[in-house]
Amino acid sequence: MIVADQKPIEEILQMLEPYKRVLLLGCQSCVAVCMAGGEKEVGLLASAVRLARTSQGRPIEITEGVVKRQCDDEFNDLWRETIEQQEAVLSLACGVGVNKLSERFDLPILPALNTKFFGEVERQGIWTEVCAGCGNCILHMTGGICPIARCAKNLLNGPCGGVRADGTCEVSRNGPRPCAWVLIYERLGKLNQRKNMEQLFAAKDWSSDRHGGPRRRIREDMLL
Amino acid sequence: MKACERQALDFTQTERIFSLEVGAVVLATGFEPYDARVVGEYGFGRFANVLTGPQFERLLSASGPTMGKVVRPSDSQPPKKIAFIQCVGSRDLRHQSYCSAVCCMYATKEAIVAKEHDHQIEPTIFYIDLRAYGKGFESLVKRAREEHGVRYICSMVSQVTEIPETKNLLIRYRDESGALREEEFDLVVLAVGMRPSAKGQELARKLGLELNEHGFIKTSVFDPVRSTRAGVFVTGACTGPKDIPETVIQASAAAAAVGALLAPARGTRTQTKHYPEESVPDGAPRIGVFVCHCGSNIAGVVDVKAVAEYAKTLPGVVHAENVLYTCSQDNLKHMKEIIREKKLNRVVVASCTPRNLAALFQDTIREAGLNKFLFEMVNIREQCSWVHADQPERATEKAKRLVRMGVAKARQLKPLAVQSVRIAPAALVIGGGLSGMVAALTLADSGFETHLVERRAELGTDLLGILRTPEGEDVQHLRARLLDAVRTHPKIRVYTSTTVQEISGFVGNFSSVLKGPWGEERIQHGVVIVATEAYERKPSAYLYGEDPRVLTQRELLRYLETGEGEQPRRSLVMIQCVGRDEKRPYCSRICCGEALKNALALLEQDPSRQIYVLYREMISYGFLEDLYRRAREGGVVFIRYDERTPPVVQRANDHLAVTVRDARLRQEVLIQADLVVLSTGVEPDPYNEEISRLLKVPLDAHGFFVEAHIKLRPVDFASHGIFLCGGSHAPGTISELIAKAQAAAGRAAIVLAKGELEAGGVVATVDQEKCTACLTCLRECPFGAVFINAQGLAEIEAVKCQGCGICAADCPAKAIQLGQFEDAQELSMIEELFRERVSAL
Amino acid sequence: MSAHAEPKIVAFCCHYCAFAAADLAGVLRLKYPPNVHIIRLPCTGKLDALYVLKAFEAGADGVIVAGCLEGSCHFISGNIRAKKRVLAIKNLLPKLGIAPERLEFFNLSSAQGDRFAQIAREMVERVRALGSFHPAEEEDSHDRRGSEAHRRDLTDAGAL
Repeated sequence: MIVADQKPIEEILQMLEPYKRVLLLGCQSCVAVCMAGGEKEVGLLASAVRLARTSQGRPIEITEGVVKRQCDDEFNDLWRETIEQQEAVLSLACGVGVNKLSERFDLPILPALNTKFFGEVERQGIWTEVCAGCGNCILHMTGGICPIARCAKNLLNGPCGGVRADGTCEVSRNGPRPCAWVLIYERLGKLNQRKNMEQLFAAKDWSSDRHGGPRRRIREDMLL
Repeated sequence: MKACERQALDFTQTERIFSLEVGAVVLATGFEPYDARVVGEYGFGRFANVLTGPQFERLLSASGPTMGKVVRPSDSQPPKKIAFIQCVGSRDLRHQSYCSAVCCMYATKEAIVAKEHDHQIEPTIFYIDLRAYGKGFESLVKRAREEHGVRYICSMVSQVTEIPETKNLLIRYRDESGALREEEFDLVVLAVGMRPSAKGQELARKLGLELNEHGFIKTSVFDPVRSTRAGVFVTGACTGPKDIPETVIQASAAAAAVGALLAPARGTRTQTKHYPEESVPDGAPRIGVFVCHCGSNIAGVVDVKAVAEYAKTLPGVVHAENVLYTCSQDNLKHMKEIIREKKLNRVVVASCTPRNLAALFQDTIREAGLNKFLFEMVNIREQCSWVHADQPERATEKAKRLVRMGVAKARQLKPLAVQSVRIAPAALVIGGGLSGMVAALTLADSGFETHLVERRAELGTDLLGILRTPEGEDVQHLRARLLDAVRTHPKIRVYTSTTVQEISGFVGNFSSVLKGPWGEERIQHGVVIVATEAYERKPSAYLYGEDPRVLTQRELLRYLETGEGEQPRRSLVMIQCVGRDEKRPYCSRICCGEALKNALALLEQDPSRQIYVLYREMISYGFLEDLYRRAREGGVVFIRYDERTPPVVQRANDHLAVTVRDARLRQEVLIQADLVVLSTGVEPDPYNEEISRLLKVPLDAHGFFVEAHIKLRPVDFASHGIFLCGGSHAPGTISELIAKAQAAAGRAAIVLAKGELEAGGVVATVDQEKCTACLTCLRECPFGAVFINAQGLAEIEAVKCQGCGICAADCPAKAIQLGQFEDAQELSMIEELFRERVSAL
Repeated sequence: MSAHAEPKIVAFCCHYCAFAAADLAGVLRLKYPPNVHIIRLPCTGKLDALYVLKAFEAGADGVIVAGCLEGSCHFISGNIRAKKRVLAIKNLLPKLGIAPERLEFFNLSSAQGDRFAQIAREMVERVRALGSFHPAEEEDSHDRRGSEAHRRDLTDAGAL
């Protein structure tokens, strides 16, 4: 799912500086599951902002709401009436939700979250990036482990010289991360597919990734 | 008759005789206070300002003759100096030779309560031995001394004289320094003892029951609730003086004994209680608020009338009133009437802690047709009047806030549904000592399968080495009998060298893993009884371990049994209260009785022996007092020592030199002893820590388990379905431990006999519309109550849900609510708590 | 700070330990200030982080969260969950201009009536020293600038 992080409260408060009446709108999809923007987080953030603003002597009126998915107009439209009464909307959805609301409503839509990556639940409380959305999936060749997302250098043909003795990547941010190619190697071994590693990939054609501009997917048969 | 509104008077009633066919009889005929007039030297009945303990208790009571104000009879003025005289009618060959067991503590309590009622009161307690042997008693006495300024003077008073002009009383006594003093008091309270109830004795004779030498109903040491007649059980003070916890224990023990006797006929004559159809609370909340006086417990501090008046102003409240005792039968009936009359659909009771009586009120409203969860209880006693007694105005303001908060929650309460779940009809007893065996036998005799688990290789190791009880009963014979009965009982499975590895589940449905050298087994059971014992502490003082002539009382027993050995031991010194210090201040209750028993046995063996007992207080309560007297008559010398100047034991040439400062003579005494015997008290089994962890049950600072309520639920844990007995609840004599074990078995049997249990109510539910299937609740639930249903969403099994609310608090989609603690309910409480309303005050 | 302002404290107590300890404090007739108001929860695990923030919004000057001793939670892990939530909020409070010392998590057993009374007394004094942070309570609120966390000189926090 899409994994996002709440912005530091200082930044959020700064964004809300000019406004006295806002709607905090959460989303019940990805950001609820990764505990950044569901109904619970909306309630907590609203309370925190109210307290901070009261402390500053500049109270703020907050309406709290949540939609099933902020990436569809129909769900957001349910809040039209309320939105039109606000000075701004602070969206707790991923960037998609912020974009969507901005296209539809003529008032500032502010992002409460920093949208980060496509991730899995490593374990309760920890989400890890495992897919880069590069648009040209080669997971069948790499035993299901993505070298674009999980290798810091996006290498396609095996590890670099920076694999540590314990199998972790020398870049490893947010704590030691396993080298993707070590994982791929081990997994291909279990699947008896080590031969895959003998096939060399040419330099990646990044045009299928966002480097070629914003992408679109169309299902002709589903157009109304 | 016309005057009585309730038409309770009917002069046409005549005496009727009923015939009842029963399988067992229980006598609980109680006691009478000793008649203080007979103890003429104290002037009771002649001097206006001499009262008995029970009379003083009435004086302190809100429903008493002075509405709880402490004033003296002669002039209705508040007394300043109050003297308590202990042992009035007890420990006295002219009256009753036994000790009445409760007076030292009730005098202490009355002194403290008197001081709470009126700070300027100065209580003094004149005593012989301060018998604070029960659980927590010695710390209460310490607080009485240090925090409440109660004076304790170890000196008996021979007479009280009255000063005619002031009606004050003069008391002569010897103080610590030995000087003769005369002190004037405004009021004297005589701590009268207990004597057998005359009517009770008459009834006992009619039933053909034997009485003991003191006129109490005779029971046997190893069967403390059984009378001399089969099928007739006896309980409480009618068998001998005892305090509230002991009485409650005996009551449960008698019920357990009856339950075992009548097991084959269980349920054949019972009726199921039927409740009226539940009304559905539609429309706006109609809340009734009942503010309790609790006598003067609440009303003495909180202005309960003002609180009730305030409650009337709160939104949703259609009825508010004061009640003297909300828990009384009268009021419960009245509440039901009001519910019907005023069509109440929610009830708030502002009184004591919901932990004790919420269930009672819930049952009451259910009888009136309301779902029992439409009830909220506000604690304005333990958490208000009792802790803010010095600030009545602020306590009243706080009470109002708490009621406002409770009413806010009540507005949001919803009816909750419950369902029935079957109970696993078996018990797990942890600990195979005396208590474990007795509890197991009682349960098994009642028809329930029992698993008895003992970590040592043998059962009953706590009884090894004890020959006789102080009354002379054969303990080894008892042990053999119990072992045999336990091993041959078809309903008891014994596991020795076995420990409990894990216990999961909840009342009615526990699942435990037992592990021993024989392997591992998982058992299902409905209840748990913790029955570990306390063991003689090994001392590290008085040359113990360094000199073979220094023994503990248990080791002395072995010596008595095997005989003299090398040389005859003529001169023995027993030292009591060894090892009692700041860290281990509690009285172990049994040591003085054991010392007396052993001293008498030593004398019986060889009357020429010279025995000295060095003690702090002689804890020979109840009928043990007779042993104390016989020991003195037999020539045993009792020397009282002050805890600040304990005895010293040194090696001399062929003997041990024991020096002690005699507190009465105020002189050092040197005794040449052949043998020194230490009474070291008992310590709870160290395995209790593991049990505490496995069962999540609390231990106190000394390592003894903490019961649900020290007086009213002494063998229950707060957690449902788990009970306790044995020395690890508190030390006790063999007789007391047997009663406690029977009591725990009886309490456990209640659960098992029901067959099924209610589930639901305070359980969590997942709103299927909101659930995002993030799996948080599934992962967090400590009880595995969450599963993913066919729709791919989280769902909670009500029977497994324990109602902790962890899932509800962490659900990122706010899809889970816990019944009775819903967010809307809790938030409305929080919002209302500090919101002063314009109409308030 | 107004001389008449008495600190308002909410104590979220779990049924099995803290609430029972509070009852025991009553049975023992211990004394603590009437500033403390107890809200009973089945377990501190039920404590939603929102309850703490809402308590501050609703006028509380201090919040106590009290649960069982670690390892002794009647519901196994509720107190561990609660402690983490409370610590997360304590970290958030200074960023909202609220002294983190106003919120505290305590572990105690049902046998510790004396400890409950002690906790109540200490929190009341601690919060009293911090003053009220609700502008309506302050007589000269227009003088208050910046966040409370910058006024440490007024507090004797850490004295628990």
